[in-house]
Amino acid sequence: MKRLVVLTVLGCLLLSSQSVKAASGDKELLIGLIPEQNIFKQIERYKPLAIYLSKRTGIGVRLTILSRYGDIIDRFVQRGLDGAFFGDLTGALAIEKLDIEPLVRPENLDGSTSSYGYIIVRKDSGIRSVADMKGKVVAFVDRATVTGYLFPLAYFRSRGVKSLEGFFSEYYFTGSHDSSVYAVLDGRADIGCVKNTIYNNLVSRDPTIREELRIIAKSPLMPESTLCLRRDLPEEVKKSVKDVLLAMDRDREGRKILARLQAKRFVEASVEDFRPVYEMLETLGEDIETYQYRVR
Amino acid sequence: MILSFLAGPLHAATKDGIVAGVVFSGDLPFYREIHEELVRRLFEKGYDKKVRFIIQRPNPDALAWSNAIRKMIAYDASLIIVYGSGAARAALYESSSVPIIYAAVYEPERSGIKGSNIRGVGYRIPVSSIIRYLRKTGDIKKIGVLYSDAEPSTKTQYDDVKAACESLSIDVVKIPIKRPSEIGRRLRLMSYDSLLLTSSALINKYFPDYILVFRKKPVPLAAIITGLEEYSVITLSTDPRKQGDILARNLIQFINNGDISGIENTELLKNSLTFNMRLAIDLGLDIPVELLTESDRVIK
Repeated sequence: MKRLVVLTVLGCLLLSSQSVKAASGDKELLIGLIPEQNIFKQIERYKPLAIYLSKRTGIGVRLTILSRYGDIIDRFVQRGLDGAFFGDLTGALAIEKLDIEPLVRPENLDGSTSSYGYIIVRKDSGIRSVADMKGKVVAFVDRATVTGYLFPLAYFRSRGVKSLEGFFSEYYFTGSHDSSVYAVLDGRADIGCVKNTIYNNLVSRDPTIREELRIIAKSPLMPESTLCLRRDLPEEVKKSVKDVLLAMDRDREGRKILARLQAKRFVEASVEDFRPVYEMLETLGEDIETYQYRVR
Repeated sequence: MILSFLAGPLHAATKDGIVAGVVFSGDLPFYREIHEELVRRLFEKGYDKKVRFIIQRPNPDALAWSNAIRKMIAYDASLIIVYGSGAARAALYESSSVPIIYAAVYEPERSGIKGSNIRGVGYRIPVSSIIRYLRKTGDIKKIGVLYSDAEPSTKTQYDDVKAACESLSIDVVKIPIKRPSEIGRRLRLMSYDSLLLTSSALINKYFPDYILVFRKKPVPLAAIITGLEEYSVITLSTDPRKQGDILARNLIQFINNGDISGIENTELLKNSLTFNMRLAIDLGLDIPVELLTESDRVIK
C-alpha cells in the first residue's frame, strides 16, 4: 500500500511536468497510460511519442499515467480521457464498458504484434512445477491483466490449484510487470508473472537477470498495448492520429521514437485482436461484464 | 555474559515442561525480533507454560559461544536454541547428543550447519540483487565484503558475492574480521568503493563503533540483516518474524514429540528491502528508480 502511495504521489509530480502544449488552437488529446512498467520508465518511453504526435498532427497530446491498471477503466470518463494505450484485459474491458475504438498497436522489434506472459521463479528456488509452489509467495501484477494475473490463475487451476489462499502462503499484486520480476529476483516473492516484452527489456539491459530466473510457463499470445480513442471524437482527429502513427516508421525522427518504444512500427488494430482475452476469461468461467478487475 | 530468565508468560516452568537454552549472539536486534516472535507464537498457541528459557547473550566470538553452550549443557537443558551460524557451529562442536534448533542461519547446509542432532530454519538472500541495486547507485568497481571466519555462513555470503561479481567486472575485496578492533583498522587500510556487511553477529554488533572511520570514504554500504539501516543505503534481509514463526513451530514439535528427528530443515526466502534514501542523497549517490519503487521501506 505504501508503495502505491509513493507511486501515486510521484506520478502526480511527473504528470504536472509532462504536458505537451497544444501545437495549434485549443485542440488537445489526453491519453492515458497504464503502469506496465514503473511510472518513470513509462513516461520516459511515451513522452517523445506525445511530442511527435503533437508536432505532426497539430493537436496537443498530453499524457497521464494511472497508478493501477483498473483505474484506466474507472477514471477514463472521470478524468476526461480521449484515449489510452490499453493492455490486454484493460483493452477488452474498455471495449465493453467505454465507447472506444482500437486504432493502432506496436509491432515489436521481432516482428510480432502480440505478447505473452511468463510465470517465473528463481533458478535456485528448486521450483520446477506447480507442485513445488505449495506454501510459496506469488507476486501477480494486477487483476486487470491477462499476462500478469488471468493466465497464471488459469495455469495454476489447470494443475489442480483450487484456491490461491489454500495453496499459496501469500499472494499480492505488485502493480507493474517489472516489479514482479524484481520481487522474485530479491526473494521477496517466490513466483512472479511478467509480460515477455517487459522481461526481454529488463534482460537486454541486465543479462544477469536471465541467469537467475527460470521461466516455468508461457501464456497464449495476447494483444500488445493498443491505442484506443473515444469513438465520439471527430473523425478527422482519429484519422490524423492514426495516419501519423502508421507512417512514423517512414521518417528518421519517427524511427528514433519507435526504437525507444522498442517497436518497429505501428500497425492497425481491431476489436478482433482481443479475442484471446475473451477466450482466457471463458477458460476461467468469467464474464467480462461482471469480472472484478479492481485490486482491493 | 549474562545468565537470565525470561520474564513474562514464559517464566514459570511446569512439571511436564522443558528447559530450553537460548544463545543470542551479540544480542543483536535482529535476533531479538526473532525471539520475540517465538515467544508470541508460543503464547498464542498455548505452549508458553510448557517451556522455560535460559537465555545467554555471549559476546560474538567462538570462545564465548562455547562457554555459553557448555553452561546450557551443565544446566541439563532439554534442547539448545541458537541464533546465527557462529553459535550454531559452537553448539555442534560442544555436543553431539543435546538437540539443537537454530534460526537465522544463511544457507545452513552449504555453511556446514548440519548433523543428526541439529535442525532449524535458515534463509537465503540473493546477494546478486544487492549488487544489482548497488550498481545503480554509482560506478561500482570494487566491493569490500566484511565477514567472520568464526561464523561459517558469512564466509558463504562472501563466496556468493564473489560468484555474482565474476561476470560483472567487479573486484571483490575480502575483509575477514576476527575481533572488533580489526573492523576500524581494515576499513582504514583497505581500498573499496562500496561495502557489504555479511550477517556476522560480530560485525553487525561492532560496526557502529567504527562508523566515523567508515564515513571518511563516501561509499555506499549494504547489509544482509536488519538493524543497521541507519548506516546502510540498501538492506535486503530475511523477515525475522517469519524466522521466529517457523522456530516456534519447530519448538512446539519438539515439545510434543520429545525429539528433533521429525523437524524438517527450512530455508526461507522471504525477504524485505529497505532503501535509506536520505543517506544516499547525503553521499551524493544516484537515486535509482527501482529502489524507490521496489523497497518495502524507504527512509526519507
